[in-house]
Amino acid sequence: MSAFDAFQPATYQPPLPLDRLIAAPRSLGSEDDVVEVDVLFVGGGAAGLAGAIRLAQIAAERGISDMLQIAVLEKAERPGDHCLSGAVINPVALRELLPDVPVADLPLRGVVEQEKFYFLSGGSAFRLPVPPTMHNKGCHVASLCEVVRFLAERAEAIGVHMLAGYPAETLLIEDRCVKGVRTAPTGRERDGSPGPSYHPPTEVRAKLTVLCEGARGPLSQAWLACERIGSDNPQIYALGVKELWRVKTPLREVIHTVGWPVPHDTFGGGWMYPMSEDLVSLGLVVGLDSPYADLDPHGMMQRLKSHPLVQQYLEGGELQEWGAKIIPEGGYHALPHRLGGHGVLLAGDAAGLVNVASLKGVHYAMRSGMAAAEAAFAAFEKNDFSWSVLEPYDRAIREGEIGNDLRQTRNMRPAFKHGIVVGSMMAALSWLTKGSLPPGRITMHTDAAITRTKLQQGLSESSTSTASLSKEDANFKSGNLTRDDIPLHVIPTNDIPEAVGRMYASLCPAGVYEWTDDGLTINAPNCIDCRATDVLGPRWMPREGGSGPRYQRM
Amino acid sequence: MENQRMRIAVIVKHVPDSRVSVRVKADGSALEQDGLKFVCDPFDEIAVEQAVQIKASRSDVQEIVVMTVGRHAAAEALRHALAMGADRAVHVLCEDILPHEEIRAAKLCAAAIHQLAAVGRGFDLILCGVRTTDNGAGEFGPALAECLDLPHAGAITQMTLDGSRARVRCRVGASTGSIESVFDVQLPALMTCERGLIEPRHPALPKLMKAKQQSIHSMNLSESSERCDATLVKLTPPPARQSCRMIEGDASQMARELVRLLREEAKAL
Amino acid sequence: MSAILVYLEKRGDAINRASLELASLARTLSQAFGMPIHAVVIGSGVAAGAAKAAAAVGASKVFIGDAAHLADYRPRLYRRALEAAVASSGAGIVLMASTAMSRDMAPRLAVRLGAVLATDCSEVFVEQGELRVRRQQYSGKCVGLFTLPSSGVRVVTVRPNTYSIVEAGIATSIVESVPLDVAADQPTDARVVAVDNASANSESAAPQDVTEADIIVAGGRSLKSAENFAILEALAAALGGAVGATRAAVDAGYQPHARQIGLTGKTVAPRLYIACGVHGAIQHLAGMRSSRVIVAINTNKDAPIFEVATYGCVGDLFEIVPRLTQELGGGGG
Repeated sequence: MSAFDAFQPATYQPPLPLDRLIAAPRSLGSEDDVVEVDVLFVGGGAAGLAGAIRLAQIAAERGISDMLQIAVLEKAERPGDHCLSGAVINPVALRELLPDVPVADLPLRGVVEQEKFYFLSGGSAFRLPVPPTMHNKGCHVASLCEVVRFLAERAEAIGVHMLAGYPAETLLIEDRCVKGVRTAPTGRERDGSPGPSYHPPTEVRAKLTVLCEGARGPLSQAWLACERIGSDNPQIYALGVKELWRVKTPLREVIHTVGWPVPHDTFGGGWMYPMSEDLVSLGLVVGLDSPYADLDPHGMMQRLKSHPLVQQYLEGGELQEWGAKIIPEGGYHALPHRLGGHGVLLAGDAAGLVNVASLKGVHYAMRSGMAAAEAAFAAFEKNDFSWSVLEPYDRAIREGEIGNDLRQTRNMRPAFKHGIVVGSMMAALSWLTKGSLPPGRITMHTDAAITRTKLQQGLSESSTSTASLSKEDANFKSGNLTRDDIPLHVIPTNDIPEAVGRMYASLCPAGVYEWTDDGLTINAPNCIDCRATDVLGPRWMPREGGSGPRYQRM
Repeated sequence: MENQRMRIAVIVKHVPDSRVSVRVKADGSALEQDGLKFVCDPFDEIAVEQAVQIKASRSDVQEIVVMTVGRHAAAEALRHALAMGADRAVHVLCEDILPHEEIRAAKLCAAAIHQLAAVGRGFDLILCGVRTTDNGAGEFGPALAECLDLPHAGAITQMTLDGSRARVRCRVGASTGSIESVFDVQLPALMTCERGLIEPRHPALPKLMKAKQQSIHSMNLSESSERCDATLVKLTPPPARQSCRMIEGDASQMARELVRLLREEAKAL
Repeated sequence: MSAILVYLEKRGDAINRASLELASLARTLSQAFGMPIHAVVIGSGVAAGAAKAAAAVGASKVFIGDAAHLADYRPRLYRRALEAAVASSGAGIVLMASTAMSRDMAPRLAVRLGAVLATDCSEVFVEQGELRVRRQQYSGKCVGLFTLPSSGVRVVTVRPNTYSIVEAGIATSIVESVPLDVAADQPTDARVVAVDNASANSESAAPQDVTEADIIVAGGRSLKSAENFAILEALAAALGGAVGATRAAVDAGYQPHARQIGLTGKTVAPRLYIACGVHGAIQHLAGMRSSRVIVAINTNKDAPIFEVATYGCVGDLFEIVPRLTQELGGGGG
């Protein structure tokens, strides 16, 4: 593609299919199709599991464990299989949740001892002072998969129903009150008709549904849309592509980079974390509010590996795993104006609780889940799950530690819409003044509303280094074994221009989209649920349980 | 069996997920456990699904009992089978059993079945996978049949039950082309299930919730279990392939040389 | 003195080739342990050729279970015959080819005799005076080295194609024939009755299933159309093999999903795998890399398929494949 007409991705994005995502509860036939619980956490990640554990703990403290049924619904076949993060984790929430567990028994890897921050150009690296918000004293390198699996075991042990392999497909609403969810059916043929191993959906009814679906959760989006809940700024996202390498040269420090191969007018940066003596996590995060029509975060990640700073560690090493995931980066001003309603609460990444300035989200997710648990218990005691009873949760998030942290850094990420140079200066100012300066609120647009005017023109072409990974092989390294004849679960708009189709193909790190002579080709089984194109194009819908990646230590 | 109700046992094994890559420990003693995921063996899932379908299609099936021989953690495979539709679970605990000890497992399982039969009626049909994805030897099924002095049909790909007789189609030539034979089997009997018999289904959510709370009958027979299989000395990754031999020339020359090499050197034709 | 007992499996009217492959192994073990080689044949009307077959594996004695009721394979009856042979021979090591029959019977025999069993071995050897075997585990992702005890009965089954047939046979002056007395079926014995032993799919016109084929010819997206797969069909027909495809070719609609080879399709390990225009994505390689011999034909010399191939041809498959078919005497020319 050489020349193209500039376009806004939003023009070609289909509307959210609310009819599919929201329905009234109904009996689906036999009694085998309904499960009833008191509190349902949708999504078995850090937020949902911390919330379920906390709620079970409170119930146990009050001696009413038998009366309070708690369930966690998770789309991955095994908890943690769809979880991916850098990650450097602040252990504060884990300690708070499980004070009886010695730190040594927590599923964390090494404590961060040395940190370095570099500005990269094509062949060289300039060391910069570590930005103050990015100091990680007392934090641990960790695998989110391991943290989540540990939490899942804890949850089961304390009596939570851990239901892995059952994606929630539809939010059940009656009289503006959320009543639970309906799971996705399994065993459908490519055309959607029931196959020989078909299992119909199940309704999981709950007095309270806590949506912890992660970034761009379809049910969370649908509920916010249905309730017309807005935010000061729209939520914006970045896509992170991550690789796990077994290395011969041990990495001794936590490294963050900015600059190459991310162009100066696009937000982004790389990381390299030591997981153990011979294991390194590395990745690249790229903002989706970029002007490039052929933005290819996976390709840029491949280029990053050819930089001397990174390559010296990968030499003689072996790729273990690969994965990708989007991150909500809007911060304070992108928080929904209301974090819940009758019978429902929003927590974790689904609510956008990520602090980009410090690159932290896991402990916010956990803490929001735990706060939701407190609110849930109060409502359970009153047997009233209406918003008036649940509302203290909203205040706890907005006015508590999470809200405070996000408020102080509220203009840091938005500042980067002016590019990295101006952005860095404004971000520094913002830090010095604890968020007071620049004054007011920097207005943001949705990522899909940013006009694509430029091409990277081969900037993102995969390098020829042996470490470089094609999207096809990357997909294999995500452990993705989705069955090949699964029905299509992403919804594009028909008849899109070539430039738009090519944008999907470049953007998707897993090779789901291809632009061929016949137009847009979709390889649905390749999808690893990163939800990047849901931000800019085709909608991502829940599909059969057990589909998607099988991350082991991402 | 007219006035008696049919009892089916399915034996399952908890094995590392064969779809996930495995690594050998540096000392070669076992697999690296870090990052390893265990599941109910996919061949055994076929056996469970077959049992569930038999029960659904006949009115005279009293119960499906799922059994496993293994460590404490193997209970997970039992719960999976319960969620798929088995009625009851029996866990023959053996903490030190190794994946390749199939004869030992068969002997333990037989001892447990004898004990269960002493207080109730024996099983009319015993099903398991034709082999497991960990050891892959397929010794367990026939060995258990011998321990129980039962007839067996191996590698079945089709089964119809008529009263207490079963007609089964068995794969008898997997390595030498597709040869299948049909057998008549008088129950009680043991059958090992091959791919193609039936497609296992994802457990229904309500059943899964019930399965998680169901109690599992544990049996501890390990004092009567001596090691009786070969001894594992070392586990190694498969040998690296020799590098590719490139054949030169034009298309005709390449074709001729390739056929010669395949015939004379590789003996693959 | 205990002996090495080689089971000569009857296949149709002849002895299974895989059983005859055990000759060189039997001789190695015989020399290492100083044990004589014996053989056993079971079936109906097998007595006539027994001595000749036994000589081919270097046996000095052959035990013959020849009776009308042994005509068809019946697990417990055959097991009983073998048990009698082990008893008469005083065998310490029983060698069998790894076949569907021995997979059934060897575990039964081992349980009955209290023997130690090693099945489907890819290597059998003597080291430090011990009988050791190697066999694949975890779907070929690991190889286990095992040691068997030095006394008692040991039953070992060996993968076909592991050893070559000793063409000249091993000359032994006289093979002594010993008839076995195998009681006919009793109520307590096998109740498995073969009713249709001739349902071989191989003669039917239906294309072979890739998971069962000994030879597979596979194509990728570079075949460019469903019609072009005809040249692979022709090669497969000349070889008596099946046609397989990569996921990309299946997704493009060139081939049905049932023929897809790879981790999300079928996992195969044939004797010969000919990859035509297959790039070699990891997910495809994972489904076929344990094939015994792999041939790669590809225009791109850097394609990853060459990393797992035994033989490689850099060139256009549309030129090479038809000529290959011709060389093999197929009608592709």
